[in-house]
Amino acid sequence: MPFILILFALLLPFRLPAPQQTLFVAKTGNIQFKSEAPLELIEARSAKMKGVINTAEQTFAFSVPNNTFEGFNSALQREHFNENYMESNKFPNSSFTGKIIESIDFSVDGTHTVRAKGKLLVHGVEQERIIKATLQIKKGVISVSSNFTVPLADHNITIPKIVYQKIAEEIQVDLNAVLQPQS
Amino acid sequence: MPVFRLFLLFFLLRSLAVSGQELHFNTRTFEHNNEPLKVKKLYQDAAGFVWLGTAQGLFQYDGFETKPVFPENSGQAIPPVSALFQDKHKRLWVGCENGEIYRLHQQKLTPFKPQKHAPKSAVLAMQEDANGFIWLATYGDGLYCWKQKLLSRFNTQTGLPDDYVYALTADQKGNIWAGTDRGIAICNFSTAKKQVSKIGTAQGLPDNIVTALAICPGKKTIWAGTYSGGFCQIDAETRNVTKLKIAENWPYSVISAILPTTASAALIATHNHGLFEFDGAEPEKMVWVEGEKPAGFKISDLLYDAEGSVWVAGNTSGIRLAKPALRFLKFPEKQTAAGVLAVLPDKKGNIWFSTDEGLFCARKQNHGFNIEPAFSGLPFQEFKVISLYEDAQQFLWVGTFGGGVFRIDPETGKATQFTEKNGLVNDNVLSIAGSGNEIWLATLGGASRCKLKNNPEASLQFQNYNQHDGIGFNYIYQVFIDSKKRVWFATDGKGLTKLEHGRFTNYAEKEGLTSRTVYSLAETRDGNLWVSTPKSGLFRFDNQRFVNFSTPEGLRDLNINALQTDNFGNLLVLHQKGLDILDPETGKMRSLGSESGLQQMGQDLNTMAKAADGTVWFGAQKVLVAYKPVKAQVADQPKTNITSVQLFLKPVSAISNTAFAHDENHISFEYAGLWFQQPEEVSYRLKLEGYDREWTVSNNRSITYPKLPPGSYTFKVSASATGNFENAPVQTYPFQVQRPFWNTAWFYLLSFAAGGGLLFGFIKSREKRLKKAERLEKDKVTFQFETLKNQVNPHFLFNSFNTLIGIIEDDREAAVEYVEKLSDFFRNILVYREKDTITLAEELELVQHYYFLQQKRYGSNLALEIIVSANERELLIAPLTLQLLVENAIKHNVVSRSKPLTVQLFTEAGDYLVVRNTLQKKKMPEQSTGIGLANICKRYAILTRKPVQIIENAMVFEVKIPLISAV
Repeated sequence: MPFILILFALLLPFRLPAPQQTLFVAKTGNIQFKSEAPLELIEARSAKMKGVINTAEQTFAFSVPNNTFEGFNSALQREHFNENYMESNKFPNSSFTGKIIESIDFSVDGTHTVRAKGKLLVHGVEQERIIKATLQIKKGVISVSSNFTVPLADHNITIPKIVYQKIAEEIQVDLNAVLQPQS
Repeated sequence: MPVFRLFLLFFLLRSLAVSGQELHFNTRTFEHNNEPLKVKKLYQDAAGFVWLGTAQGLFQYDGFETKPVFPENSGQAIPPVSALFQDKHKRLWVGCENGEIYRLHQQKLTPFKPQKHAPKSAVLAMQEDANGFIWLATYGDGLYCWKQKLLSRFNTQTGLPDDYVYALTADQKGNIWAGTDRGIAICNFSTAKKQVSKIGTAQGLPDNIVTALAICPGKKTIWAGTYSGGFCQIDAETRNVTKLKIAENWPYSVISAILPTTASAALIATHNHGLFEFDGAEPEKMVWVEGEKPAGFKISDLLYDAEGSVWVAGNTSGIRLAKPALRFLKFPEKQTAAGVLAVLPDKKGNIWFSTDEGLFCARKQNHGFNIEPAFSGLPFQEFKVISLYEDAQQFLWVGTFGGGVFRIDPETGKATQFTEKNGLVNDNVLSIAGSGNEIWLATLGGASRCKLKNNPEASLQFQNYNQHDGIGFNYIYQVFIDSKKRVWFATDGKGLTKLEHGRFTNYAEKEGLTSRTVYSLAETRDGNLWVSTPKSGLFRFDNQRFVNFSTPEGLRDLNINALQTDNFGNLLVLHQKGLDILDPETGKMRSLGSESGLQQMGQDLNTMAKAADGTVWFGAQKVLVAYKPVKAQVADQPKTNITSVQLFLKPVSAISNTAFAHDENHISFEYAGLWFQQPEEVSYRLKLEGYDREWTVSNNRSITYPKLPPGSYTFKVSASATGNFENAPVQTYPFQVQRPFWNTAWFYLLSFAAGGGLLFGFIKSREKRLKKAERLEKDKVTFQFETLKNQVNPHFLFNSFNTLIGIIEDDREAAVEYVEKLSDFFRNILVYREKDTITLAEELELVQHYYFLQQKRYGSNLALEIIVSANERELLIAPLTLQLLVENAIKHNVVSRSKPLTVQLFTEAGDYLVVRNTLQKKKMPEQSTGIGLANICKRYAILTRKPVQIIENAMVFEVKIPLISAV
């Protein structure tokens, strides 16, 4: 009997379920980037961004396959993007994982500007970034939107000298996603 | 709109920063293997060395050399250093970017390997709490506490708000404050329980990401620098956050380091916008102090060293050094005037100064000063402004060269000019001083005094004094009112004049003032007056005598411009080479010169003045300098360390080695005088006590003593940056070179004992030998005496004469022969008795003579048989031995016809001579002393080891005499 009691006591903390839903997931987030160079404006977007926020731990992870970006000014440009710059075969995904600095009550509706601190992985190179984002909580659904820049040099993406007039050194990224509680 | 406001604020701050009070930075670069070192972390240890944490490992810097420090038994540099800290036990903790930790203790760098829980990510900070526990902050792996040789981890599971920890600081209560991504965690591990409490934005923190923490010198306030919310102050006790208005809507970058300089002020480094100073006493003021900085320079660490210098490390190679006690207020570019003639800080905090181009005012602003020309309507370009004074009514007195003095209301600009025409003694006003309502003006024509009236607008009258009234000379360079309200005049040519109770007194050579011209005056707290002279340096005057202070006392330049005192009681001496700071109590002198940015100093006597807050302002080339010592105690001389002791050029541990063997006598010392502000100025004075008689002064940083004789020595070294070693603390290293074993006391003792023993033995044996010889001598004498006595025995003579009578008639020839034999016999006895030994032949001859004499008496009744070979006759025998034995035989035995006596003499094997006779004892024995035979035995005991054998039986009596070989 005492043995079972101890076992029960040991299991107790693990058996207590979290009082609220803690995982919020987005399967079809939107992300777009923009390269504003003196001679050319390049834009591309993807709706294949996946995202997850753990509201209990205030952590998050977002990821997008590089080859899902569409748009560009030409098919050749898209090919260059995947083969020459992103090397999508070698580094298929770009991701940003980390934590939310500001503590937020996700159970209450509201809009918050938060800083997400974590590791931005682009082209296989990780950079620690603090990125501002807006979180809107409404009826148990979280909408995320953010914009930030990615300096190409930070991620070892080199631009041939001939085309540097056509590709910006810093790429502007915009993203938004709606995260539903995981069922 | 907010963007615009932000921009405006940004614009305002930046534009004002231009006229801020800048620090003067010197850049120092370090190299290792021809590669520039990127210094990220700085730490000064208790011994004074500065440790550089670089991407290429750990380096020790002594001002001269940058020495790499490798782990013990390894030539491999440690990983990039991200934290440095020295604990109470003088262990230097070195944290690395990969989470490794090393500890340096007694010059040995060893990896720190706790039993469990080694940090896995970069160690960004280390700190010791009031309980002596060491805390390690990691980036991503939480906080670790090294308590009683166990490493415990604090992380989000144990209540830490976040595992990314940037900074640590310790309060007095044993708490560790940790700056994390989610606020400040205040941790305590003094009990068994891990206690963590939190300060976040909810508690008023401007931002949760706390990147820098520092506790102020009084330990009352903790500074927190944040990622995007600027900085704030937190009460260490109540933990109340004081939000600063100036840090609202923080437009600048991340705070990367905070360096508290006083109880209320700190230097604060931003990541991209440089360095500024903030003083809690003036919370609206934030002064950018960096001036020009290298492009893209990002500060990573700050250090405040023992000499009062600030070190700045960043992302460029090398570090930047500055003296925060000196602030430089640069003139605007357009202003061309060079030298500053006079300086006056007024009570409102503005600085008035004059140049050849007129009068200017540096007006105090929130972020520095704005320099603008003042009273351009007044003729200050025509008449140079050479003296300035602010009176009790806050009116400005402007003394000119040739134009008298102007009294100006600074608010309205309304000015009144006083010249010789309206009562002033002379139009060249060199100096103005005042006390209360009394104003004194010193001119080239004497001194003028006036009293202010209650109505500041009322006209003023002057009372004039000159050399006829008692002032030494009419040319007065300075008038000075001391704390006892005495008025002093520094004259050109007649020394110093004092005015006390209406009486003038002159002081010159008689009191020891060897210079007749006196320029400048100041009074120190001890009531002593200090005067500067054109060529003889300084004089201290205690109202009795003048004492000279010159270059031997540490004064760097005799070309003194002005004197002042600072708030710590020091005397400031401004001269062409910079500023000398003299502590009048100890006589210690330190200096600030071109290395601190002081060059082309203002040459006028009024170029230095003290503000109400204690800041001393002085002018130099196109710049006003504010000297505000932040620490009362900064090192005023190099700190000396003996860095290495070497035997035959191989380092030995200086701590455990103080006794060397006699052949370990080639000893070298390396030493370093740490004086980071001017390392090239350091010279050393050294002496090996027990070897050197005198001190040696040298610039070398090592010395070798080859072939030291055994003895006790003390190596002494002190360092000085001025060449004056009077007050320089001496480092000592006592040691011994031991004597070789053959040179030690116990060896001496042993040798002495051994020698003594030998001598004793020798003396003893000699004594024995002497005694033996003495005994032999004595025996010989006795024997001789006995023999002689026997031979002159009356019986013998009587018998011999009777025999002679018997034959003298019968046979004259036989009688003659008999007498001849008798005479021969006696002569032989006389001859032989002196000798120790004679040959057997001689002795036998003697016996033959004796036998002849006896045979005449006994006839055929007595027979002597001698069987001795010729060889054997060469052997030695004691003289008279045989004669005595033969005589004894005749004496003790019956010799008659019926009983004839035969004495046989023959040799026996083993070199014995046997004397044998048949035993036929007389019935009435002859009287005998019995000495004879005993004597023979004794003599032979000395002569040879072979004993004399005496054999007596019923038949024969036999004596065996050992024969002694001749060689």
